Amino acid sequence: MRLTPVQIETIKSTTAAVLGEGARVTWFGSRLHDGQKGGDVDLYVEVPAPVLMQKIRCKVQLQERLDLPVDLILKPLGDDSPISRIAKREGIVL
Amino acid sequence: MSEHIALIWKKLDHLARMREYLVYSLEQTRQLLPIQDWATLLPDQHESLAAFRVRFSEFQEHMGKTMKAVALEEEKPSEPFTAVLLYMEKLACLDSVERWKEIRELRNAVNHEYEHDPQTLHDFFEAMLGSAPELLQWHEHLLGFCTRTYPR
Repeated sequence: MRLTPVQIETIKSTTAAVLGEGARVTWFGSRLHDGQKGGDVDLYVEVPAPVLMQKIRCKVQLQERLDLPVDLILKPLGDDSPISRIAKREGIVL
Repeated sequence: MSEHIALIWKKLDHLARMREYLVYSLEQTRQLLPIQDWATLLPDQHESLAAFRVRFSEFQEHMGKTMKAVALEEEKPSEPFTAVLLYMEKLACLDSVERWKEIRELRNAVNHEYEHDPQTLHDFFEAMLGSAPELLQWHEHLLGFCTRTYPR
């Protein structure tokens, strides 16, 4: 896993602060795998009611604090789109 | 006037023209929103929305380049670009570095996320309508600084 415990804590605290305590954060994608290099931090987040500017604010703050590119997907709770299925199947809930 | 200051003014003149186009598109888009049914939009209405999206993006892009030129002229750091933004904040040309970055992220999202969902499209345009006045205000502050500092 190519994120440090401090970085993971930063993700959790930032998403909670911007998106609310109820935000359910799943980390997926290439940074989960030690054998790969580079890549964005792929985060899939479910909240009761997604708001565009909250998503943008959260992404900007995460990129600032992690100093890494972040790809943030924000969906309503229980979303069942193809990307949500991939994230839930391959990712880990933070 | 030095060659570099002349270049800054060339950028500012271009930015002034871009501002006129953006203000026009802003008004056109305000009249269109809220859109009840995207499927019934006429081609010229789609064109108005597209023009606003492009002009919004290009205005911020060009203003950023002009800010960088000012930072260079003032012998301030210009890399990373955050250094320029922090300097602009110090000059009161910018209210908030974070807000600038949010607007930049908004235009990246608008330009790269291909959306069909009417609610998402509506949210994008509402957010741009809400942010455009801030860009226009920052432009006025930048122009004010340059007029005082580099008189023509």
